Amino acid sequence: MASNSAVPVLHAESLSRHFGPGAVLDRVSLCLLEGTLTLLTGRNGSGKTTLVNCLAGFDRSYSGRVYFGGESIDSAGPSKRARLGIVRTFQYPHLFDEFTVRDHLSLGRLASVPALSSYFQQQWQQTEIQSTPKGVEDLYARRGDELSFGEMKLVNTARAIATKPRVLLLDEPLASLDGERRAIVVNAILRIRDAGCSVLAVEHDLQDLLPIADAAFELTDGKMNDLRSK
Amino acid sequence: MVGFTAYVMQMAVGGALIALALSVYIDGIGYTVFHLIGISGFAAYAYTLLTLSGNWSVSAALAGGILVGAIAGWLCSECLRPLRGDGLTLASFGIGVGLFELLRFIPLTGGVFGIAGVPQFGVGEPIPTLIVTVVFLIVGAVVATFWRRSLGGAIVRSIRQDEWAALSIGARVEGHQRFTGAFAGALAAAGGIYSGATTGFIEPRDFQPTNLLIPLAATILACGKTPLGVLGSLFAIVFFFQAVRFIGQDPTTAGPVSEIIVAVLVAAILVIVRVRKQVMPHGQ
Repeated sequence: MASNSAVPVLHAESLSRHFGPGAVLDRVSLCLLEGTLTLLTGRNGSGKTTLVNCLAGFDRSYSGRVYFGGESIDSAGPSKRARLGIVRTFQYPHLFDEFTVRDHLSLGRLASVPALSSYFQQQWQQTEIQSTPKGVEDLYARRGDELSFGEMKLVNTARAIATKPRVLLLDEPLASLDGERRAIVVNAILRIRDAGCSVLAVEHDLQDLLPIADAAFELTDGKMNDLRSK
Repeated sequence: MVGFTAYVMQMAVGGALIALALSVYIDGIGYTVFHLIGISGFAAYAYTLLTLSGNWSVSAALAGGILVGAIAGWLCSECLRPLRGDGLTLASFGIGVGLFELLRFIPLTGGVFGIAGVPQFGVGEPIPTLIVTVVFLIVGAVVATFWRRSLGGAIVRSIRQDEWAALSIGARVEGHQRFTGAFAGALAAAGGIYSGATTGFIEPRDFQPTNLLIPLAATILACGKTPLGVLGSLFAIVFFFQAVRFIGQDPTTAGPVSEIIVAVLVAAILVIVRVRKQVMPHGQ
């Protein structure tokens, strides 16, 4: 749980994003603190994924400002933001067909240490991945195109965690997962939060995450409302 | 190596190098590759002008031509990088046609008549020409195979497969794509220079986008995958072409007919493979 002295890591200030005449995000402000879990919910089409896209740099057609560690990162693209430590996952898991799960996790770690040559020396297949959520190990040898949807979602989250992010943006991390795998992801979120990472989880089903969230918001009509004050 | 055999070998190896360039490009960037033949033409002209006007040695001009191809490949991939889908297809085709037209209208390149007397590898000596042919083929195949099997090649393929996933973990997507463009440009350049330097003559029409038929057909038949598959497909198509010409006796008719047969066969295979493959939804 967050302490009173938690440091702001990612700060969105008055973000607006329009698709056609309507505002999906209407001057939304959000501050993600170090070592906290923020839960974001809302109806389909309320702008949750759009907000994640804007924070991660996948959508930069917004007005407003995004600060990381106090510095504006509006001009940084998604790859640069990921290298800074702002890492996201997707509702639909994106994996590489010909890489094994172990490769994916190694690649995730590589992204934060951009040294291909040392990667060769480490012999990726034998690398230990310390931050891997428990329960993923039995998938290590399987390729991306051999996994079920639920397994892909699990690896998608594990790969993002393997980059050792400072801010982790999870887009519906629990959707389509069975009870056992939901528990794996929830435990992983707790572990990485306790390690100091700031986690923003977008989720419809609040049952698992609301009790452990440090802050919770609902996006309605482009506005952010505090769930806890309702 | 003389006469008809030399002609067939030159056609096969020149096409093979272009096909390898296509497979590298398709692997790493996308399916639209019409500009690569124009790049091979630019490199062939660069080699020719460096040797004839610049008095460079054949080997230095070969290196210079390949460098020109790599730079052109990098510049083209930089222009095409932001585009996707139909826009990418149109732009790639436009660059290919544009490069071809440039070669036709710039006085330095000899205009539509091209340039004769291109310094040849092993002029009139069968063994050196054969050696050069084999060396070009082996080096091209080995380099493309090594790249395909390397970690770098796997990463570049994965980026093409899913750019968003690569971006989300901080991959330097733009750098990888630029490198792939330059690498494919260098391979295409080797193909263009090889063709010019073994026939001793180049003209713009050798480098028009429609001349991609054979390399493109070979790459499609091999599913753009293993370099050895690409080479095998290309040699099979060239053999088929020449067999049709030989059997047809009238090359003027048999040539285009064989091209039509190859185009129809490849299109049919492509459609059948596409239809039979399961299409997965991939939305957000």
